[in-house]
Amino acid sequence: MKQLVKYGLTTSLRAFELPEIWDGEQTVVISAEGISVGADTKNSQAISVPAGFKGTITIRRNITGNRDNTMQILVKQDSEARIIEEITGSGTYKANVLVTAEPGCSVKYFLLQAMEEDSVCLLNYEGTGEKGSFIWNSCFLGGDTTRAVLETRAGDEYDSQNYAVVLGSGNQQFDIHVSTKHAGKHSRSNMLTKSVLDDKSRAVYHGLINISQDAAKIDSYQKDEVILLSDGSSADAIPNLEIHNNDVSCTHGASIGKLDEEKLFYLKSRGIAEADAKRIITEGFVEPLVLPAWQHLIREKISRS
Amino acid sequence: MLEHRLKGLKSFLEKPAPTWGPDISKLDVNNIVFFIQNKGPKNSRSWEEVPADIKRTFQRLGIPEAEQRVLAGAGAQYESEMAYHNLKTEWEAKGVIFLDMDEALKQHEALVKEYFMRCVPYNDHKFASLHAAVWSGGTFLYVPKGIKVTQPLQAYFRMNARRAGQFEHTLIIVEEEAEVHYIEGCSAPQYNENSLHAGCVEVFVKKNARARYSSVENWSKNTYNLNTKRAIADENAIIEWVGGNLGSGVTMLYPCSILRGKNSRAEHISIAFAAKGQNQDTGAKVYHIAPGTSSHITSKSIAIEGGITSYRGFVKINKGAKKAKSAVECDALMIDNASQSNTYPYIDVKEADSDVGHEATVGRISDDDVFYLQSRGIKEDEAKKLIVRGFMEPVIKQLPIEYAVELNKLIELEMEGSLG
Repeated sequence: MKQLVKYGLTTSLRAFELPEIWDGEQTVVISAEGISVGADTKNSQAISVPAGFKGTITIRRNITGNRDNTMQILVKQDSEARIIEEITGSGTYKANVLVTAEPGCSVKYFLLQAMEEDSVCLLNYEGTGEKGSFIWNSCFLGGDTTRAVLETRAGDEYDSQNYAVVLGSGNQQFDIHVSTKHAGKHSRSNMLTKSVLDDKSRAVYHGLINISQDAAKIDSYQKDEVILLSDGSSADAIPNLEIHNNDVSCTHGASIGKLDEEKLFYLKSRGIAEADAKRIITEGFVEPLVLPAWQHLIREKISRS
Repeated sequence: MLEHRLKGLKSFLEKPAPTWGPDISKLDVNNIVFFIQNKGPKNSRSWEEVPADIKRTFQRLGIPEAEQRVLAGAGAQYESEMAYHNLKTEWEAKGVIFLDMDEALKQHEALVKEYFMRCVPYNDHKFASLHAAVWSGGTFLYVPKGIKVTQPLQAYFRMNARRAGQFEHTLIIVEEEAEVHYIEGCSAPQYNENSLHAGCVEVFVKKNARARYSSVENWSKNTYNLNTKRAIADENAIIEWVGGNLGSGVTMLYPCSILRGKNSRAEHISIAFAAKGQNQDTGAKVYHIAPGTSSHITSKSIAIEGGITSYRGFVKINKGAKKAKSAVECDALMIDNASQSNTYPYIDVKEADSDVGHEATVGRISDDDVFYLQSRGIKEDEAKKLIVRGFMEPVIKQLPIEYAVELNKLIELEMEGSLG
């Protein structure tokens, strides 16, 4: 499984070329009120969200062995869909997911990767829509090697947000690509990635804002923040901008550093032990970006390391 | 030296062309003339000896005049060889060496041998290899221990022939506690065929020393400017790069600072300007190797009439570079909608006890600002010019006054008619 590392980190392949491997299983449980779920074969799902739908769709995926999966989600007009996907289990999981939103939809996609620490996880997620909003909110905790692409293609009048949290420990490696491609006018986008790395873990952040020549009146921001907790941890930040239109306001920032010593000092002066103070600051750093239902997982992982 | 050149050639043929960045596939190296000899004597110490046509070119550029007034010394390269090189006697007496590179190789062989292409090895990348194989001309500058050269030294490089290639090698050695400011200007007239500039600059800044390297490059619009500039800084040393990139069709230039000494510091200030048909791919590279090192990169770019500007930066904090600090700021201004502006920063941090920040903005001339100036009675195009000038101010003010004026004029000339 370790040799799969070469497919991740710093290469810029769009699709993951893995050998055909079908020796694993996955159990997928999809639950939602009043919507039809397409034929759930072993390795592909199609979900159609009816027009005007307001509610939550939960997808729980448990992996054993090596799986290759595709999923398509079509969100029809004027719906407000919350999609929650949790990936657990152990093995090699490779997925291509496409979420297409019709005009007038608000889509919030929460993604949790909490696989066992010997796993390899390669994710390629794309969301596309116009006249509405799209939020990616992902949380990467598990796996040995994780490579994730989370992309939004924004049409006219779109509000696109992309938040990601990475918690690394041991020898974990994360390669996170977040991008927003603006093809339409009058859109906004905001991308924020926060990583906390301990032990010998490593995270690479690739951010991209691409504004095509026809996309005027765009307001776009991206930021990558990394806290390195240990001596052996390391991080790369590559926040890119490709701007082909001048009627835009586009900024980005990145910061990599250790835990804020002033905050630590303040908490210690209040009688909190150093280890606890570190935990509190770290939790406070990432928690705003994590779905409440998953916050206990974050706390567990932080207190373990 | 021949052996070194052959090694460079072999490496050039073996190395692949860069797969990233601007398109350089139209560059046919076989079409480039690698060496053009000048008539008349080399390395004249007096302008009287320089052939009339070459002298006229440099007079138009104002070199002899500036030399008399503000410079400690000046050099002028025409095509592949240095036509003029002079250093004021007061500095010569203090042991400062300011020579044409070919001449330096003859007079100070041991010194050149010790440093030549030690900072940029011959097999660094494809065009460094080409440079190693065919280099000619350039400047050799040696500042002995403790000497602070208070007046700037200047060299000017001019390519005049068609399909010419200029491969000058500049080697600057600043010994302990010494200080120097070196300025380089470059230009070439316009021809139909492409020309190539693949120079190389190596700067060695020793303990407690300080070096400032300023350059204004204004090659013709069909020049490929594939330049390599690199500095190694020892303990407490300061290296400053100030650069303006205006001309050339394709520029790929990333001055690099290697901070290997404790508490050494790098300062990169650059401005790039891309008009129609130009692709300015510039940036900065800083390697933090020793503890306490700091770097500050300021990059400004202006794209107009379909020009492409890219900032491509690389900041690396090595393991063990404790308390290293780096701040990167990139601002891009897009004057019209046909232009393109990219930012590709790469930050690689291996040391937890460090602090790295990056900020970038891309935008156009703000309507509010223009409106404000108009309300004060300034015409619209005047107002826009004023805003552009203000945008460049932080870079311009770092340059000596002659260059600042020249740069301002050049940019205004380029933007003539495209504003307002």
